[in-house]
Amino acid sequence: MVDVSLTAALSDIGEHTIAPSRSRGYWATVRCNLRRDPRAVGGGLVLLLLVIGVVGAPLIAPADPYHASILARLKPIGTPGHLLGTDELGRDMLSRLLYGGQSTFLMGVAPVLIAFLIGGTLGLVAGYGGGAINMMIMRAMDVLYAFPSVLLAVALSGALGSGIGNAMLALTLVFIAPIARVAESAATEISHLDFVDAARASGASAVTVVRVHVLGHVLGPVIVYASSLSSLGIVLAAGLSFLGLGVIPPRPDWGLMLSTLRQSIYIQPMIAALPGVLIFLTSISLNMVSDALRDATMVKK
Amino acid sequence: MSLAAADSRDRGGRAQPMLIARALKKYFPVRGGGFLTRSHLHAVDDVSFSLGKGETIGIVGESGCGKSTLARVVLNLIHRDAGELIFDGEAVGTSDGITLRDLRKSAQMVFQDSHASLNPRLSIEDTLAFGPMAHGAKRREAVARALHLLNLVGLDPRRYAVCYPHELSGGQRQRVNIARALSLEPRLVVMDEPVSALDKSVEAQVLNLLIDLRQRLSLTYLFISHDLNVVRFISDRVMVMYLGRVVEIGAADTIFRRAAHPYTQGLLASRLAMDPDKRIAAPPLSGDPPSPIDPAPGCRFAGRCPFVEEVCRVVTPELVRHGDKTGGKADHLAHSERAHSDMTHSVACHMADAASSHSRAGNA
Amino acid sequence: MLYVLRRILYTVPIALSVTVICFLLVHIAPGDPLQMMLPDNATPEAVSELKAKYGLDKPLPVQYLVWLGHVAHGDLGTSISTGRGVADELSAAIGNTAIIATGGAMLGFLMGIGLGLVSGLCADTFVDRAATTIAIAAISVPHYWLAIVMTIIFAVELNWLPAIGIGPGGVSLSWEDLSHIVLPVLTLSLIPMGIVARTVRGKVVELMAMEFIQTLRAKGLRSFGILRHVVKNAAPSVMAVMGLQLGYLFGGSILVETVFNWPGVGFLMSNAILRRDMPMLQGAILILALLFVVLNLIVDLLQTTIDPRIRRRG
Repeated sequence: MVDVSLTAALSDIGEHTIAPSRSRGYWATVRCNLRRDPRAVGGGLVLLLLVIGVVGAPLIAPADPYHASILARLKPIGTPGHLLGTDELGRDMLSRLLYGGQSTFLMGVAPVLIAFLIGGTLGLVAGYGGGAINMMIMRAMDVLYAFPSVLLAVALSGALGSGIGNAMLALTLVFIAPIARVAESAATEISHLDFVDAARASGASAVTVVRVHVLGHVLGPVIVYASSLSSLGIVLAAGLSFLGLGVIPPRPDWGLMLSTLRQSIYIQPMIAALPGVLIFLTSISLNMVSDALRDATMVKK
Repeated sequence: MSLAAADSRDRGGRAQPMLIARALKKYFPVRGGGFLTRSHLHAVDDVSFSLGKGETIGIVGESGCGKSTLARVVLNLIHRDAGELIFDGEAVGTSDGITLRDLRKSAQMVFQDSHASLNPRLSIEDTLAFGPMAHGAKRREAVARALHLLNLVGLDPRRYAVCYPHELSGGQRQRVNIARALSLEPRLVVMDEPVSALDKSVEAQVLNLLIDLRQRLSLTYLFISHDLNVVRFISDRVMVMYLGRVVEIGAADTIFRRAAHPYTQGLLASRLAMDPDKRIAAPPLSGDPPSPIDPAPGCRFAGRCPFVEEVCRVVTPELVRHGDKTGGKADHLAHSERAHSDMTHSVACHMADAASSHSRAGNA
Repeated sequence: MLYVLRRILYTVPIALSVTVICFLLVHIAPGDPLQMMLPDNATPEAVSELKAKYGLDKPLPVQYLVWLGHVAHGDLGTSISTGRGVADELSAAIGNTAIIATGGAMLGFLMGIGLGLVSGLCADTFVDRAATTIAIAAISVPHYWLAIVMTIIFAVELNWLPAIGIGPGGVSLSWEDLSHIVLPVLTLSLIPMGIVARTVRGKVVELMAMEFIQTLRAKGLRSFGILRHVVKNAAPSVMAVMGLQLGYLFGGSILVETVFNWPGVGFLMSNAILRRDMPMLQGAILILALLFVVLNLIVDLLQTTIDPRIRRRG
């Protein structure tokens, strides 16, 4: 799953990311392109709704997500007082879904952000530095890269034990290597162009050259790639909880809920599927935004 | 050529050559070939010359002869593998010589490919302000200098300062490249094929600009090009390179009128003439140049030279003074380090070396 | 030839590093693995005796080498929960994983190629947009959720297919056995389908725009001939993607196997996690990771034979 967007990201870097004829600076052009792309608008809207719901859970949720009631177990959707029914312990589904999104989002997105910082820096240093530095860093990344992402996430998480912190640590480690690869590829490509040589020739320090000239070109592909990783992050994070490796019950979490509601598929199949619907929606809207972002940063010559 | 005017920025005196290069070598390790042994691409092989203040030396040769690598080695953008570089009397790249920072302020480069030579994300004024700011100038100062530079190269700062590279034509971009090279007020400007990508009419404008700037700012030029006519137009002296080695060096007129090395003669004869009566049937230079990777001993031009003999394939010719009947390696470097500008015509060919065993030795 | 050798040699340090990581996994786990094996009131002597028996009192690098030696001989230790040899359990399970992984991969590739071709050849039409939306949905779907949904639709509501487990005959062509395979394979096929479809579409669009296709058209080559050219040129990258997807299916089978109780390596891993059965977990991860490395190598070499221009660095 990780690899195709990586391959695409790597091949995209070869195109010169130059703004079109209006002299409006690069990022302004990207914003403009995004606004016109239905995928970005649609996906962005769905994401916005989800985020509002999840972040605003304390205000929106009708009931306490932990409040269990044996009598109210597995009530169907549309029950008065429980808009989306109740789960196997009688807790209100809507509230649990809203609150559950908080841990899923946290476990899915935070690792991507941290990996973006760490992997991006590593790749940038390796790409600009070249030679021995490049070899050392990228060989280390190659080792991590030798594992399929799901396997590595499960392995690390399984070894560390359950808990949100452990899951986030595992996912961060999983994401560092592919991000570093994209960053390194972009940085290497740019570092060989003449204007970087010219910048070095003017006597500026390496940090200054990287900051002014290289960083801007590397940020684009890395941000695009990281955004596509975030959908994987959400799916993997919920998946870890599904296996019992992430969130610890009774805390609500979409993946965990999928797992505990599994036994109830014969009784209330719709409710059992609900948490997954939200994971799916989040994932697909993130992918759409990421696709749109990729096209927005890539302008035909 | 008279001595250049004294400049307060110079450390060495007026007679001190701006640049002395001795036996510069740069080899690139190449993958492939043997499993355990390493092959090397001889990009720059034992190159020596000196450049006086105010002088312009043109370096010519085909693609792949090492000109661009030499340019970068001279500016210490690529570290040389062997040899010495002396800038205005101070050694480059040693702990007691000139600092890198000072070198960067004194020697700059105008790049070849005008498209990738400017950062497409930065406006012109940002690009020009980068150098001075990196050396501590405040932004306002740097931008003011940038605008002044744009004027200097003939671009209206009000129009062009806030533009992006893609909005400029090739000629305009090269002017910006030149302005950038001048932004740190260097004494030496190395130019790597600065007009090759331009249309002929634009080329003439840019060349004239370069000549004008040279006079106004008392600059010293190292001008690299594969175009002989351009080199002749702008250079005082010419150095001909082939596969990383210097094959001939001397005053521009001398080289163009009385070239001694067969390669130079071939290059000159290859220029297309405007006069249809001067058509030539067979191409002057035939065959392909050998690979610069691990070259065989002997003269590099042996495979294509019409005068090749046994000695050429075995002994590598050294630069000898042309017309010197006594033969032996010309100590032309020592000579030029005494005089500020050396117009000695030297050739790396056995035919010019009276002491060699070539049948035409000493008669060329 | 030299490149092939170099590439194979390069895989060795990678494989070794993978083993190191697998080895270390157990040791970063909190909790003493010995606690599980001993009663709570064990005497210090009993503890140190057990430690010596398992070689846990030696320094880490030595332990690693000892462990590696065992692995090389096919001994992956004993499962704490079942008491049987890990290697034996895994060798039985890997066949099952292979069935659904390869089945899912092949189905996914077929559908993906079809979808991608249709999409790419009709680029920017309604058909294309519909197809790319399907592809995006396919790659976004959490497959464990999809497994549950499939179970709900086909097992619970329609009652056509069994919900969990493997058929009594294991793998055969009898309906009884096949019916157990259908859902896992269908579920696993979706993500590869989406990814292959996107890759194929991208390649087709790119190739159709290239000049040599225009030249072929101008020469009067009919659509089918052009198609053949497109396929030939797109094949290397698409194959690379397919190879990797197959690897991901093997490595990532755990979630789907858990839902379907399919007795593959992933299912064993999932149980091992629940029971903190470290030797089993370690063995499963090692096998799957090494399999992935080998698969990558094969894909790389295949790609290079088809298109010599593609050479990975190193």
